Amino acid sequence: MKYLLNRIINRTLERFMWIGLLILIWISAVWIGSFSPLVLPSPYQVFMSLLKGFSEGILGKQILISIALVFTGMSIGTLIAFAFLFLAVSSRMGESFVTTLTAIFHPLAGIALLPVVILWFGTGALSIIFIIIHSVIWPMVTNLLMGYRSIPETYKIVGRNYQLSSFKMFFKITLPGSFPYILAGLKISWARAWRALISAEMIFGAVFSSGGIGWFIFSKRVFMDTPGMFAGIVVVIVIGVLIEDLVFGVIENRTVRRWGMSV
Amino acid sequence: MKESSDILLSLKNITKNFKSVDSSLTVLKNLSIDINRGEFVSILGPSGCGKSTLLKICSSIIKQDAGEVCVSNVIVNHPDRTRILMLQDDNQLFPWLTVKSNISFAEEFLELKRRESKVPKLLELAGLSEYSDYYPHQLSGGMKKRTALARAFAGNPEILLMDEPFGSLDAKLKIKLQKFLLEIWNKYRMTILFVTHDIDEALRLGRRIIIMNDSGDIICDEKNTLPRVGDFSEDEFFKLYRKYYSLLTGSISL
Repeated sequence: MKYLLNRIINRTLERFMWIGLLILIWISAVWIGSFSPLVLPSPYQVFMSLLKGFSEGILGKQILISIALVFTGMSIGTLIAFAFLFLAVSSRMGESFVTTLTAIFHPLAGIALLPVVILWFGTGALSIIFIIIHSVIWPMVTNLLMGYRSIPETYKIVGRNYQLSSFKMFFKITLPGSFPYILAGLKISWARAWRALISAEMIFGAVFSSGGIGWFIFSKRVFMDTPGMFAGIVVVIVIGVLIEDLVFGVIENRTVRRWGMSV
Repeated sequence: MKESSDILLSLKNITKNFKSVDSSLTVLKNLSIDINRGEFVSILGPSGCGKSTLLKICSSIIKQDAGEVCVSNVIVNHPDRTRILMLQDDNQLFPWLTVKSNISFAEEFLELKRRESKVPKLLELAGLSEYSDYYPHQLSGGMKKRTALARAFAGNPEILLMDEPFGSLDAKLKIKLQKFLLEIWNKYRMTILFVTHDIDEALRLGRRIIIMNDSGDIICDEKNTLPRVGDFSEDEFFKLYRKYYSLLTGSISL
């Protein structure tokens, strides 16, 4: 336990070291090139812009909107992916249907669907959620299926031997048995959803009263507020890293790593 | 007690074929065995003779093509927890459960919870009390085997079907685990079918020896005349060993 804690602390320190180095490079680039703040603002200017954004209350609200959208889309997308998994494992035809759907839609960038989605659902939250769901389902289905197929026959035999109902078989064996793949699927889905969200927000403009971080960055461009644009980018990065390290990192440490099941 | 009334597991004319696209392989043909309640039977045979298939059929994990499996004179067709199959595979423990939870997995569905759980006692017997909160990947091969054994016992099965459970272990560990198995069998007296290709192991464990040849027929079925571990002379042991050895080697058609 102490060892694990040390490892986490070390890793965090390393991470901060590299981030510090990158900021240092940034500062020296600004200093050596003596760019106009309109081209490349200094970290200090970006930081002040961030503070301003938060103190005005806009940025915080926009972060919340973005996260709420992504969370909704991911939850629905994951549920649909599980429904596809059930379809795929219940019959051979079901499987070929699901794999065909995945082959068609997985390579299709969500952004390519935007014009059509706007036509169908308008430029509201619904469209953004639709794009997020699209970017979540396919990598999730692929991983769920891989995970399902990776479960050793022995686990299923033990389950049958102890007369588990299909319900218990799913929750006691299928789910934990394919958890490394489920987690990998969630991580990929999250990364894709987050990207899709930011792009969609930029194109759609304001959803509700404000428009999410994507819109924040885009609207700063209109006023040539370069530090503001950078502030938005920093927020996008920080949230990405935090979710990856904190949410998924913690889940991973408590499950697949503890179980010795990492893929 | 009359033997005939004490039959627990009865295989009647079991036939099993494995079919592939262009061929069919008969593994078991018209095989019949009666096993008495509380018997510890060693089944010896060369690799590929159908021993493992036989155990899987006994547990109804796979279905025979012809014949019947009866438990207490009732035909059984589906796997159930009174007939526990213990696989050879090292990965039969669930990696996401601790040693304790892996063992109590067998109890969870038995409504034994209300009664006293056997898990602490089994952990102690298996020498795993200190490791009860460990995950399988943190255990040595022998500890994993002991955990799997403990799980198999925990569910109070009537019949335990063991498929070369100690196959992958070194000699020293093997003897240790054989002792553990006997200890537990002496305590709970369930019926055990123990498949192995190791004559030594078959003789040390089983009170009855069944030998199959490579076409899946039973060529020998007799009481083990050796007394329990330690009490017999080497002469007796080697006499039987040689007999079974020649039966086994003679059974391999070259």
